[in-house]
Amino acid sequence: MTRFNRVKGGRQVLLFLIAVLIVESESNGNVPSEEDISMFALPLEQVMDIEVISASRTQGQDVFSSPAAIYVITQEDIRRSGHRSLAELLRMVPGLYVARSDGNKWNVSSRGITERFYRMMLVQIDGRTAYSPMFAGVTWESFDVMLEDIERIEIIRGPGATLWGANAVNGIVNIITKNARNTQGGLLSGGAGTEERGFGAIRYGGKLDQNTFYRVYGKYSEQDKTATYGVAPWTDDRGIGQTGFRIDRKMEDDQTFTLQGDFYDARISDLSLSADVAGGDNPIEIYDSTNRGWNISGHWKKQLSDTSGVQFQIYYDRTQKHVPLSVSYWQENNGILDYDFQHDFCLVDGHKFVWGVGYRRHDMKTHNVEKLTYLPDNTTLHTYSGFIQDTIEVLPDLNVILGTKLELNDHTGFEYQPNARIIWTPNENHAVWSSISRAVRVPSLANYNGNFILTVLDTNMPYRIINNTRMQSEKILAYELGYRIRPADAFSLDIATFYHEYEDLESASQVDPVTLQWDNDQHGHAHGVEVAANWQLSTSWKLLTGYTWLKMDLSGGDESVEDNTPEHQFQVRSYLDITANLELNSALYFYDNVPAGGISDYTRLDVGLTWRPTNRLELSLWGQNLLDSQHPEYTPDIFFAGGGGEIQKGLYGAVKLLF
Amino acid sequence: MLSAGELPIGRAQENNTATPEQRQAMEYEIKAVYLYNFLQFAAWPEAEKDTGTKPDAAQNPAPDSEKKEKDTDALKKNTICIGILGQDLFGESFNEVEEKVIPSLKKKLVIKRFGPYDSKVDITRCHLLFISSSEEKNLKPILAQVKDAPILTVADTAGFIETGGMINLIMKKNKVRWEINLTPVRRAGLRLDSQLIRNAVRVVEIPELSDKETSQGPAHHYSKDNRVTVVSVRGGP
Repeated sequence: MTRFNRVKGGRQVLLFLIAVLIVESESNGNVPSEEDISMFALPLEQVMDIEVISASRTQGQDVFSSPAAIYVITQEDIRRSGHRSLAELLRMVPGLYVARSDGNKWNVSSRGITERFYRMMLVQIDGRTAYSPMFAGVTWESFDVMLEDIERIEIIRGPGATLWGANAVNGIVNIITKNARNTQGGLLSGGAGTEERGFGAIRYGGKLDQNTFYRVYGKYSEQDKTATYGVAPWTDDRGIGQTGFRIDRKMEDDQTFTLQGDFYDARISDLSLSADVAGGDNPIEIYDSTNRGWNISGHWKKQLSDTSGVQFQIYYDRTQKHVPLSVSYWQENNGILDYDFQHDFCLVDGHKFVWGVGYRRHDMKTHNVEKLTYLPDNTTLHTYSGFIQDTIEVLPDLNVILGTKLELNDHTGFEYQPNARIIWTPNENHAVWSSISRAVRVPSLANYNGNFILTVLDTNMPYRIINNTRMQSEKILAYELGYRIRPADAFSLDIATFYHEYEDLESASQVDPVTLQWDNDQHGHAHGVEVAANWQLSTSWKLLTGYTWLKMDLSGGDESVEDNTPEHQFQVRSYLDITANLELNSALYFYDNVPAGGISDYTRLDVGLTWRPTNRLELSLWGQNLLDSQHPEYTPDIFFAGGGGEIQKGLYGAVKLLF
Repeated sequence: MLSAGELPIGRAQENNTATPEQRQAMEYEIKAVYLYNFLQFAAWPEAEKDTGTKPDAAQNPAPDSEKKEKDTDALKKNTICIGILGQDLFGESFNEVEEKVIPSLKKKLVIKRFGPYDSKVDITRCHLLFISSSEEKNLKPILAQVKDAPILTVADTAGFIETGGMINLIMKKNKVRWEINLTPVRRAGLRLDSQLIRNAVRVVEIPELSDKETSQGPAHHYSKDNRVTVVSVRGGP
């Protein structure tokens, strides 16, 4: 019942948007107004003055000469991958590991220590964090965006805490959406299939005045359940609807403003075990949880000169998860208010400084159930931060970067996260870089305030995990060395190697026969190699390959954590243009076995055919997971041990129309 | 917003990291605007005749029935057509003007995407033919096929005008410029506005070779065997 209602709700949002947009486009009509003047209407002399790229804007170095293990997913990659959710898109990144433990739970990790709520990687969209300080991780199942509006996704593996703050221990994912100026006009897309049951999206972009552009969008999608297994028959499908807007204004004096916001509502079908420690009668709970949220952010930026600029950002983000249970309900509410200021300038020749300050306030409120109790149920946390970094041009082809982040938080107090990086670019086709950095993962509210009652499936014995207010930060010291080469225009190779040393890793130790308590008893190290190679074989065929090798050695706590990520991963993606309007895109992903979860190695094959009969219409047909009828990708964490799902072969068709 | 691509320097902004793809997209957006302008700065013989059919000069005169079909096709009296041969790198650049009336010409712009070169496809059904760099190897047969037809040939491939093409788009200091070979323009009966000629980086008249010579040897042989007459050379911006 709930489910039906929700589906209907989502469609209503869409229909409403369509109605709004039709009115909008009609009112605009085809009457050319002065504001519609575009490049096409410029006189020839002015066209001749347009530069492909103005040199003054490219203050920074490009990806090729970045002293970090960075990878960029472009809009083209998104379009040619056939993936339909943010977590799935990250399969394309060498060094990352994406595995589904069931239909609506993704485990996304970077350089090991995989878990559903991955505590060691920051994820943000247009500068707004998607990493929850409550349970330290990302709710991938309800984290969505209009895929067509993504400009690019930048992924940095390894610590990036000096600039991005705590918890950027093993990586950062930065999703950057397009400027509203670049999403003018209408877009309507939709499709249906066996696993991707149905999806639809609509976006419209227009102009408010000469310098101000906007877009509004709405989308809805439904995923089918997988081949679920567990203590009872259950489903793991989901439905998610989201709508939002973005306004961009660029002033004459190099000032830009952005205002954007989103609202979403997701239905997540799930199962859990509910037990009380005394009785241990273990009732099974099957339910649809609701994840809902909204956010609004404002961004202001001013270029002061060719070498200096300031920017300020503020956002508020609200999330709610509601889980109806047979007797009561679990609910968590989070509000994050964040201010961020940054100033970059060049004081003396050869030095580029950037510094900034930030403040974040996190409000949390829960409705507890016996199985899951946060005490107190109402908390406010404050984090104050500052950072400074200097890029020193030692020689024209040798740059050294020194910087640190300083943070003050309510739980562990003062934290410092410095880094030192060096990059040598003897010419534009070679780059060698190296870094040493320190980062911390501050304890989440789950560590500090959370009390869980879990069940050992084999024995049906309940046990608890209790909070620890003396929990410390997990620490990493990372050493990295990378090399990039572009021997020809058509070929590029990027190799990154790393050695991570971890101290005070999160663990849980027994305090009595049925009780574990969070602590910091694990330490160890990880090392590995990540390779990305791109090869443009001809103007119509491109191959992208990736290889990941990871080895971990942990001591203390649950040592099986070192085996919860594949040792080898390999991928080949092929972008082939058969004719100017017919594309054949395919991807092969190989995942080595995961000993800790008893998962055997498997290979995933996706193939898609895309046809553009006109420039405004695109039809595509995708087959996903084509090599077997179903396979398990990941064994659920102990917190979600009631059941899992095997991922099935899927087929879907999609239509995209520009108007 | 805040972007990680600039990690070495700082948390910089969106527009600071133009990937090669973005750069190319922008380059072709500008090239699209040029093609749109060329339509307005060129005059086709049939426009004066007001019939909409190709003049008899076409290399392979089509039978009457086919001619009628063409009348209803892209060369309709009230439309003007850009043909794109080979890989279409323009992306969404033409969206804004495609299928819309060009005010100065009072004609609807039609874009035909021919795909990779295929000698069986009639590429003469357009007013302006843009030959993508993906067809560099087929330039000779392509130009032979449209030779004598009133088609403005444009490309962005080095050596295009030396091979017998009319306008070649080139990059000069991050700006798009063009060079013109007047010989094929005259032969096809086209007229180019003086603005187009005046602002060209290079205007040349390369004498044509006999068919026999055309069919052999690479393009640079021309300049060796025939004197290239440079009418004017203009620097960049």
